[in-house]
Amino acid sequence: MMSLHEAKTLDIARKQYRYKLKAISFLGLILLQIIALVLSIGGIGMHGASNQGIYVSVHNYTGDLVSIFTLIWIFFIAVGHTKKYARNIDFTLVSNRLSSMISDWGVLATVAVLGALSATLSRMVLWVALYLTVDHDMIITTAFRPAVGDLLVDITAFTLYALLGVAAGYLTGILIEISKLFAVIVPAVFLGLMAVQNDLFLRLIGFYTTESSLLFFAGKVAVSAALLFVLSLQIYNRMEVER
Amino acid sequence: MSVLNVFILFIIICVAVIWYLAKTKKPLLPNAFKRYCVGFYSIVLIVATLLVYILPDTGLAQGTDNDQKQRLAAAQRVDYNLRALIKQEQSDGSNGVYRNLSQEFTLDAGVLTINPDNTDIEIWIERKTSADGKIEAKSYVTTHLVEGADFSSKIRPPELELDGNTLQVRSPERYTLKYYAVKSDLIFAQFRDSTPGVAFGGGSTFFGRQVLLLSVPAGMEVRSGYSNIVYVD
Repeated sequence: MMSLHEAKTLDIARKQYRYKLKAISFLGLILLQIIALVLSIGGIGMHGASNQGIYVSVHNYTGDLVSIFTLIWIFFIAVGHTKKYARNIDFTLVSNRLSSMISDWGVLATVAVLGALSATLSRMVLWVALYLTVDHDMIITTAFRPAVGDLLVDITAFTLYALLGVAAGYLTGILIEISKLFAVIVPAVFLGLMAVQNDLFLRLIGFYTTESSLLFFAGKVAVSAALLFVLSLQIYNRMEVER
Repeated sequence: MSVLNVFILFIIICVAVIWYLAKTKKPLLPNAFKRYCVGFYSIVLIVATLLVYILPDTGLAQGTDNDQKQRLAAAQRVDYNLRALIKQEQSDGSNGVYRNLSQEFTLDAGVLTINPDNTDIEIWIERKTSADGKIEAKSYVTTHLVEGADFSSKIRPPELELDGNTLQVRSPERYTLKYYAVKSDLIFAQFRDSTPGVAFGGGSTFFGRQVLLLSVPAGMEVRSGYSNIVYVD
């Protein structure tokens, strides 16, 4: 009887997952990535040096802008997922809170993976454009053709950052549901801490960005994301009771 | 485009899109069109990735994130041992020294006047054992590095012209070498043995030495008011 119930919940969650995933427009992600690629065409930084009548300039090309734009998109998708209209999708199917939660996290995890995959591969468009338009001996490469293993590490690393973004976005969305003031407070606090280079904030950022072992990084992200989701869930449950 | 401009543009686009979506209940584009876009974009990404692995990378300048310091140290060693390395006559760059000019002039007069147009050119003069009336001019370049990639072969030699018994040495016109560095993203560099955070600037450029070696016949007198002349054995 118990196993039958679990199977039913998973079945419902799977249906909700498909339904919710269809509701997400990936066109926004594509547009943002195209904008990032267009803005990266001239390079995202340069430096130069001169000596005895020679001027050497180096225009740097990375997929950083695409990564940033993709992470922002993922963050806002997670925020949007907590909105009332998004939660109303649950009522189109017979569901319970568990199935809704499982499907939510499944959708957000899928968004993170697809975002990571597209962001990692979209750099290649930039590399190919550069290859086809510039003299080859003027292209300095350190990362033109990553090994397949490195590419998988890249996708995994980006997915982990995306999951962190999803968890942070989900919590932010829940807070905004409590009060619209959080829509101002959260970015203000974030930008403020960045602007004043707050020591604790920098250490928190460094906790993730200075970890060079993918395994330890995955552990840190898993624990952090779980904590953020549990916190979101606690707030959400309390919010529902109060209503 | 600066990062600030990019950020401002991004915010403007976000605000415009959110405002539009808030104002209208209608979907921006039909669902079928959206699906086509997603499919087309996916194909573009896959094709671009395949192309990166298929296209030959032989002509690309090989930079390095990891051993830039080692390459720099090696280049500096070449500078210190330049005279000895030139004597080895391996001027294809295999020992860090490139010969980018080799010219010969015939001068019957016993006096040679050297007249460079600026003080940047380092001129070495060596005396041959025979008085064959021929001046051999060779220009050498030591390793020049940008982001760990060697650009020595792109260094232009000075232009030489023998006018009477005066050798005119002219520097090439000022020129620019524009490089494009493909680097790891910050996120990816974190898990590799590479230097992150140099995409917005930084990087290193090392200019090696350029030497014009003149081999003059034995007994020929060399005159010049130029300060950057070295007489070698």
